[in-house]
Amino acid sequence: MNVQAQKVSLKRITINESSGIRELATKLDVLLDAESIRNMVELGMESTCPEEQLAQTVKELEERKKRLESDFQKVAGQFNKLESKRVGLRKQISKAFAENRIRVFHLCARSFSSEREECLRDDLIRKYVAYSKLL
Amino acid sequence: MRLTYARRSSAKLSVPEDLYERIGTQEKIVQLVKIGLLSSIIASLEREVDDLVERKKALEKHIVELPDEIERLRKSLEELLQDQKTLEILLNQRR
Repeated sequence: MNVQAQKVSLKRITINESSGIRELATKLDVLLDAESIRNMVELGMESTCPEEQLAQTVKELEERKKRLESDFQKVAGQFNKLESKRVGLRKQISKAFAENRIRVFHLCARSFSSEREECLRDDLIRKYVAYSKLL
Repeated sequence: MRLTYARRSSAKLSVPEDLYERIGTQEKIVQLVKIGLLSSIIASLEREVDDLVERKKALEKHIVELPDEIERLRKSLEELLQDQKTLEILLNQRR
């Protein structure tokens, strides 16, 4: 098989820097090789909008993206504040629950003179030992 | 310096010959490449904008839900602290 015959013949054309093509390719992060030039030309042929209108749309979308990014940062700040409050409370709850559970274990061996205290002890045992899925 | 600048002020593109023949002129190819690039940038920006809108909506939803969740947790913590007091009283009682 002739490998050379499969290669695409290329024609080198000169583009002026002022055409802005290089900047656009950088913005899109594409390498302008023969294949991507073919793809871009095909896309260009499919487009029904003039270049100026497309450039204006790019400008508007970039501005919208910038505004959205700024809004997103503000919203993310609010979220982080609330989320750290939630996480902090969760940690406090886990610690307090674990400590109460240990206290309840100590209480298991104790007996009380009043019926009220006995009931209170039994309730706490039920809450922290028998039904420990309080949270 | 001038030479360097002159070299930098232009660049070369390697265009498939069949494509060049189909389009006809260098100017037309440059214009179509530019339109193609602009169209791709628009598509990419639209995706990024949509993604940002979605992510912002998701965060706003959490922001609405979190105060209720925080309130529920605060009440649970209060209850635990109250139990802690009761437990300490009971444990400190003389046998």
